[in-house]
Amino acid sequence: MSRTNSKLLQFTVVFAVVSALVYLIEYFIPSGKGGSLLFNLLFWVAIVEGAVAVVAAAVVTNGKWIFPYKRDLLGVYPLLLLITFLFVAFIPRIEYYPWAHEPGIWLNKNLFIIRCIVFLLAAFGTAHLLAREVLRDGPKKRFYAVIYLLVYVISQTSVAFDWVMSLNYPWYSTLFGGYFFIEAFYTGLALGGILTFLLYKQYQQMEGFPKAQMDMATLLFAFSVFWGSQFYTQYLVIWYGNLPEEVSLIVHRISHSPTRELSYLVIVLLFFIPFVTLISRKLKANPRFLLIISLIVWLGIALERLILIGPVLTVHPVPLIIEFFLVGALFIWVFRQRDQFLAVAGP
Amino acid sequence: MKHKEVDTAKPMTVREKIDYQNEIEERVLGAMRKPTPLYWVGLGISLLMVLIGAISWTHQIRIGMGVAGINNPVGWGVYITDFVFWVGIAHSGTLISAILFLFRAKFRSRFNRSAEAMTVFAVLTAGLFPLIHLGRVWFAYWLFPYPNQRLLWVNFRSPLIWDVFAVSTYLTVSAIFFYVGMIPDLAIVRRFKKGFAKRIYSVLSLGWTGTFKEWQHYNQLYKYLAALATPLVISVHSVVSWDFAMSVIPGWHTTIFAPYFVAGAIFSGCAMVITLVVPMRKMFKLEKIITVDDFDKLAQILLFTSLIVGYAYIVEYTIAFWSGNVFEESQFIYRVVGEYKWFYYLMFFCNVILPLTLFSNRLRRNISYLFIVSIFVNIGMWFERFNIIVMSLAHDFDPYAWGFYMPSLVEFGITLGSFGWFFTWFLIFAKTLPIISITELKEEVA
Repeated sequence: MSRTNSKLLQFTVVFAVVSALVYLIEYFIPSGKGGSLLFNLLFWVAIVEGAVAVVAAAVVTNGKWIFPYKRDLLGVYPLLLLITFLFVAFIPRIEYYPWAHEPGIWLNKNLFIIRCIVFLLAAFGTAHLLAREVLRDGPKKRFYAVIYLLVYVISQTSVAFDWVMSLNYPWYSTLFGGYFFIEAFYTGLALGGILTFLLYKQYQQMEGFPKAQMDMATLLFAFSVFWGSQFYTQYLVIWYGNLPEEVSLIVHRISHSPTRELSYLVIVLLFFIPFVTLISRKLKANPRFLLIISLIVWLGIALERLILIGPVLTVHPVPLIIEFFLVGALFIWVFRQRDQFLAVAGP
Repeated sequence: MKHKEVDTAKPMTVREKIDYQNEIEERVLGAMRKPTPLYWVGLGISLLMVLIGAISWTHQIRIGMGVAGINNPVGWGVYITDFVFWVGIAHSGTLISAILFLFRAKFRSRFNRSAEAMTVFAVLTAGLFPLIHLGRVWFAYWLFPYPNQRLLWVNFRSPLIWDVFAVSTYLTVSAIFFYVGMIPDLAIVRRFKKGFAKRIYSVLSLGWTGTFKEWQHYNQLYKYLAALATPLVISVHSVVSWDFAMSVIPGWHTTIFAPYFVAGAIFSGCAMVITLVVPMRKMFKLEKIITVDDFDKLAQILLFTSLIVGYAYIVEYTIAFWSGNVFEESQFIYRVVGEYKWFYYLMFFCNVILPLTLFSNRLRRNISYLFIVSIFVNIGMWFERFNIIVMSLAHDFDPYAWGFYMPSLVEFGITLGSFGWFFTWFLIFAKTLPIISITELKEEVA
């Protein structure tokens, strides 16, 4: 058994144990209609799938800026397996979806579970192949990158439509899938921003790093604009149309405190702050500042997802925080072991 | 004649660099010399198409809008389809050029001039259609908010008025972007011209001498314009999509329209660039400059945008059923089984199925095949606009109000005329201005 595979097996065991622990926390701490696990799933799936998608996109476009980052961004892909386990722990919560007791052809419990698990495992499998091929600079790296990106788009669309949109049924928006995979890419780039600070000394040794850092920061800026445009596009059409089934999602959230204030805060965190600050070349070149902006982006994404599920499911702070830090600790643990399971030598 | 392609990425000796730079000048400026018979044939056909369009429009003005096939409920037909089609082509040119510049894509220099010229001419073409569609074209100025005795103002809440501002702003920025990018090349052309032509190029090149300071300012300005043009194009084409999405008509009122239209614009624009550049490359013997590798990269963009467009088609469809909205469901069933179903299948084949063949490296690098695909994509994208506009109007909420529309000969004539108008401008451009950026190509090996 190769070092990568034995390490993945070890991860699988640890992930299964942690998922069992999350299951106990989720279901044995009284928290009403628990939304904490769904929140954690939504937050971490965006970061992990997004980080791998950033590398895949750079491979497809021959982006040289990815060179210092690729190994570290790919280092988080085993967590897709953890997310699959956590999704299994989430299955009893499907009862809270409005369609659960009136199943349709697409929205029925069994098909929902099967397709979500298939998409998550497909994302893990293709990310694994991509990581192996990219790190050994294999001839099929572009092929796997394209495959991963296709799976990523399907997986994130499923996350948006199945996990979130169907929770707010009968609300619907055709842009929601695209909005989610753009957001996930944005969070993946933000992970790059965090790595710039954390691994600055290591990265500095690499040729062309200052330029790569600038490109990463510029992409973060570009995605803040892109996110803003997608948000505005979706909002404007819904607002102008003023159809009850469409505006319901927004009205429920901006009519009451604290979701109203938090909704405004999301726009500030995901658009205004990165847009205004990252215009400056000086700030883009500052790793500490990139860390702050990236954490702001993550906070914005976390709040947005909380707001999306909050009014439908109850998000109790105790299980939310415990589960968040548990998954976060695993994230760090897996990341620290990346050199062991990404066994192929490379920068 | 076989042309050996030059790999500019490989190190060259000083002699090779000078030879290559001289050859670029020779080839690009050679295209501006005396036209060949083939060129005159092309121009003659284009002018004939313009004549057919002009006769059709004159007939419509003389007789009235009744000669067009539009009716109640399908009040928007081929004219608005043509408008959206040409605006899409227009938006992609600057977008391709500006985005590729910001991403430092080297192959851009082979296509950017054609793409930018295409943008300007396509806006000029698109701009005709709201006038044609108005019927009484002499009242076109009513679209503008000007002070008047009756204190009437245009409806600023209407996306159609947003469009007037958006498209005119876009024309201004695109024309500036096109012109500014050409200034150093116009100075090169000036060197080789004599007499009155030299004076014209001297004026157009704004006294460019190529000093370090000029280049410094020029590069800053060009980068700024590219950065300005990119979000502008995205926003302008989003506004075009909102002409439809802001209404509540089934099939129109959908949030994905803005990014879907933007992706569709890049898709159709890439196809049009290929359609224009393949014969141009052959006609002006530019095989050594515009290589198969360059087409391969453009084909990859075509494939990528096709996937986005395909994704949008699928999402629109699935969400129509997912939502449980009977009107949306009915509209999307109508698209595949109604009177226009073959138009829908044609669109899907041209825009989604056929471009999938470009996953094959061999097909992507076959320029004849790529040219054929590009023509099919142009056809598919025209039908996409037709399907969106006509099918939703023909089959909205109330079965009592459903209708059928078939374009009349006058509408076909005007559409043909629009293609003639566009190609005429492009052919004139090919003989009067440098069709490829000479300075950018030279810079690559400098």
